[in-house]
Amino acid sequence: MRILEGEKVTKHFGGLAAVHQVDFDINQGEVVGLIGPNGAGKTTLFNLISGSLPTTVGEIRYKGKKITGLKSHQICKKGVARTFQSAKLFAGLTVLENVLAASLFGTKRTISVPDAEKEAIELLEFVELSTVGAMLAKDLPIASRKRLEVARALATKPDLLLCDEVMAGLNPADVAQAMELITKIRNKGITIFMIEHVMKAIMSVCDRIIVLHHGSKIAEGTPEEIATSRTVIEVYLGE
Amino acid sequence: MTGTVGRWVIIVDHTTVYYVILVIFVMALFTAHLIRRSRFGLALRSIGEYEEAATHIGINATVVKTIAFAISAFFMGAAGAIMATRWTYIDPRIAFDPLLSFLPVLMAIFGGTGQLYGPVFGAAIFAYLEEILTTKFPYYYMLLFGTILIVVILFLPHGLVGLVQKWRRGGWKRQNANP
Repeated sequence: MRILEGEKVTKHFGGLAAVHQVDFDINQGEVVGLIGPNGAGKTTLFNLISGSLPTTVGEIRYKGKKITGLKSHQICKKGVARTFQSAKLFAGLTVLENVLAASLFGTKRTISVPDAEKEAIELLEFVELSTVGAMLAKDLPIASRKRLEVARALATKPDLLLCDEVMAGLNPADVAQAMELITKIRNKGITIFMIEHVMKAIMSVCDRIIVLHHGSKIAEGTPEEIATSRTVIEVYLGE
Repeated sequence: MTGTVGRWVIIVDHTTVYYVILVIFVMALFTAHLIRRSRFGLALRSIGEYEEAATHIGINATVVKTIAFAISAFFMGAAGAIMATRWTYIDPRIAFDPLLSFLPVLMAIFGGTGQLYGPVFGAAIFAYLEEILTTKFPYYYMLLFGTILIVVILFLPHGLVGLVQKWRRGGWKRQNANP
């Protein structure tokens, strides 16, 4: 079953086509990677899906229903969560409060504060941050910040998680841990659409990869197909 | 109808004004305290920290901010209504005087935002300073007052409360010990 579909999704910033006529679809339970050189429009595409930016032309459907034109908080409540490339945490709030806020407001249900707190603590355990719950988010090291972003996104009980470079800036040990986390999330039954530059990670974790270049989709396929595709190699290595 | 927008106001004695203001003050503090502890308060703090991230975890920032604005406007309005009785005559131009509108914000910044006692502290010192300066230096009062404000906003972004907290933690030297 298709969980997310995009049809001729386009975003223009003045004369610049940041995302141009991109068609894509993501099936339930899949892990799909989104790669491309810097400035290819990957984050812009995520911004269009999550409602950060209005789409110029085209339509995005989540579970068969149109979500283009909805506000970010409405899209979140429908079950689409995201993390940000440069961890946009609530720096002055504690680690637990960051997740608690998402548990309280991220879903359509009404939940009591103690129940939300319980869920938040469980999620901190899931991402292995339970020992630093009382710390301020700004005092966390980078790898923990990224994991907190993931925990906060998961607290909104998504069916689809958009991960924007959760592994950027991490050392190899942290990358391995992050890959493990992605697999754990997938085993929960959550569909993942991820932007990533760490090739080793994307090749081993993803079922399918979409390649963007100058805002257009230039290739799509299994990791093996992408790794051997001439167009992709040309774009990355320049001939 | 008199054809004007202004109104002559019935004068109320000082004691009544004092007690009404006191009640408004206690109510405002109590409301702020309740909001801080509530889920609404958590939503507000999230928006204050990072609005884009807050909307992405399901917070309707527009609604939350509008409610916060309405609550604060209620107390401003209540204080204004009792204040008006001391002025005998009032019209919209006086009521919406920019200086009066910005003064409470300046008091809050002066004392330190983000803490419940910050604005209280700020307002007390602010009012005292204003009285001292107007009586001691009637000609230079505005100049001195302005200079003090600029210095506080430039060098004490967390207000006087921030200064006290910094001093308590062990002075200036340690401020970047754990960035």
